[in-house]
Amino acid sequence: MQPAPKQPAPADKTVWPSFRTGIEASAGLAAGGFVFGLLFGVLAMARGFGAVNTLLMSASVFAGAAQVAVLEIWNEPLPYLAIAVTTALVCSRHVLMGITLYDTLSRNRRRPPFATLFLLTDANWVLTVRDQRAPNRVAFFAGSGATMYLAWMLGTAAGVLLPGLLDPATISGLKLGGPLFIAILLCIFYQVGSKVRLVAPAASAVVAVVASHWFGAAGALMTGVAAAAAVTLVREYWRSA
Amino acid sequence: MPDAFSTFIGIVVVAVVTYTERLAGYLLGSRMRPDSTASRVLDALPGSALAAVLALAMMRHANAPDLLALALTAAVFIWTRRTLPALGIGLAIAVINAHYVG
Repeated sequence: MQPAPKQPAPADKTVWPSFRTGIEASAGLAAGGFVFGLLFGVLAMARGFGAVNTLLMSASVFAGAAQVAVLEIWNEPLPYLAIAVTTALVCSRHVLMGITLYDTLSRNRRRPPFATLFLLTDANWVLTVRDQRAPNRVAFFAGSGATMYLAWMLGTAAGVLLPGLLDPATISGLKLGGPLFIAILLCIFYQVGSKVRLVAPAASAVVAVVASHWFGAAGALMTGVAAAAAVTLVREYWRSA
Repeated sequence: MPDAFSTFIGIVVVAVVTYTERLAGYLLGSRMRPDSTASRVLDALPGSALAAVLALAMMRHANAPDLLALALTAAVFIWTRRTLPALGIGLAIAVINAHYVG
């Protein structure tokens, strides 16, 4: 007896409406993604990154804070370890976001959404966790992530074109944009919460500067962040004691 | 600036590390829930790494106009909560400095 031919799985009718809901939910935030992409494009070009490398990095990484941070240590010879460590530390919040997304994205799903997870950013993480309108959460996550990605790439492309219109002295001045932007990111990280939370980043900064007299960029960075982790653990110990 | 091949490898390193962390969180989520201490340490890492990168970067810009630009950028952002005016004033000082001071 011949086995019955396999029937194709019925199309999930919730995919496109949920994808569209994701696009609608993230449309307002996409303006911010565009501006952030534009700034990264300008900063990368000011650092001599070139148009192709700037676009390649934005397309393959899609993590603004990490991209701006590694620009600051992108020197000859390229410190690969420092670049990997900086990226891992700046993006470590993605690990926590991924953990909290598991229950939402794995609902009614056999295979993990490996490709879609590339689109994970702060913005669509918040939207996916909080906005429960769409029945298909993976499609919603993909829709909001794709919108942010498109805005990010359009912004980067605009930023790549801008420095061609500027003189060398202005481009030289714009190199300070990386540290300035990191300062703003720090203000965003720490604007909510108590002043006590500032102890860890302050310890990290001071220890990294001191350690830079003995170690390279990666060593100084890791020593600084280890000091911050130690400060946080000590605080936790005092809180629970 | 490093050569094209080194830059390409550097970009691949950043892309692989970033995607691995995106994936790792999801895969860990199926097996564990971090306790409050681990959550707080993980929560402290990004800001601390950025603070260290900023401090190390500012060692190259340790002059009065650049430090003024940094302080004003932070002050304007804290006051207005808006990125563009804050970055605009800092970059304006940096560009004027590059044009007229050198």
